[in-house]
Amino acid sequence: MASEQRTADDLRIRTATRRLVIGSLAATVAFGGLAAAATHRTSASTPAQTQTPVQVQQSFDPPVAQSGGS
Amino acid sequence: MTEPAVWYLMRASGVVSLLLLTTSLALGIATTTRWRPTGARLRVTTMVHRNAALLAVAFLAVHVLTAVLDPDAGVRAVSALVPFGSAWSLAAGTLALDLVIALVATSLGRRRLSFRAWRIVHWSAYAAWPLAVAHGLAMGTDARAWWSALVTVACISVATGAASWRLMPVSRP
Repeated sequence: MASEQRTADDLRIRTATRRLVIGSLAATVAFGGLAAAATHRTSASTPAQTQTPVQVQQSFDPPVAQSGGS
Repeated sequence: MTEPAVWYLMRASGVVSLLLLTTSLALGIATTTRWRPTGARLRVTTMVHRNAALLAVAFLAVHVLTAVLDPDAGVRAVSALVPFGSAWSLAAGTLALDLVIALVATSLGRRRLSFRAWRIVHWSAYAAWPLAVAHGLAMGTDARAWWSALVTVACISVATGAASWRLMPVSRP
């Protein structure tokens, strides 16, 4: 009777452990996929940075005074 | 060298590690309350608790190894084991890992320790688990993702529920 109980307990332990292992591996794959999807979504929604054209600096130097001849 | 697969595995194994730690914690509390499946002996709860903890260590090892290997994560090998000299978010995870290693090591070598010494180290699980949660919330790339939030809420619910159950007064005949 005691050995039967022990056998039944061992079966429960093995079954529960097997489910933990399989569940953990499946969860790793699932979460890895979700992480990848989140990363791709973030990189796709980030607008590509465009370079602003370099604006030509306009010279505002005062005109050189021209001496007029008389 | 950028290895996104390594990065994804690091993130996923971190989440799974937390789930397994929570499972192990809840089963450990169930053991102290003498809970066991109907028709089974307490040995079932104890052994599944132990196996969940060992599995958590395995996934933690994957999480730490991928964090060190991934150049984008920027985790030095020494920071994976020594919780000093790094950001608190990383240090929390490192400390949790150290406590889990001590937990498992003392449990596997339980026969060489006094019950009191083993129990004191084992109680550090109550510190390791919240440190792991804090690490995930503060440092996790996916901390704000809906699925990560769902996992965190579920783990907190299970752990606080189990702890509350443990602290409830037991009615004795």
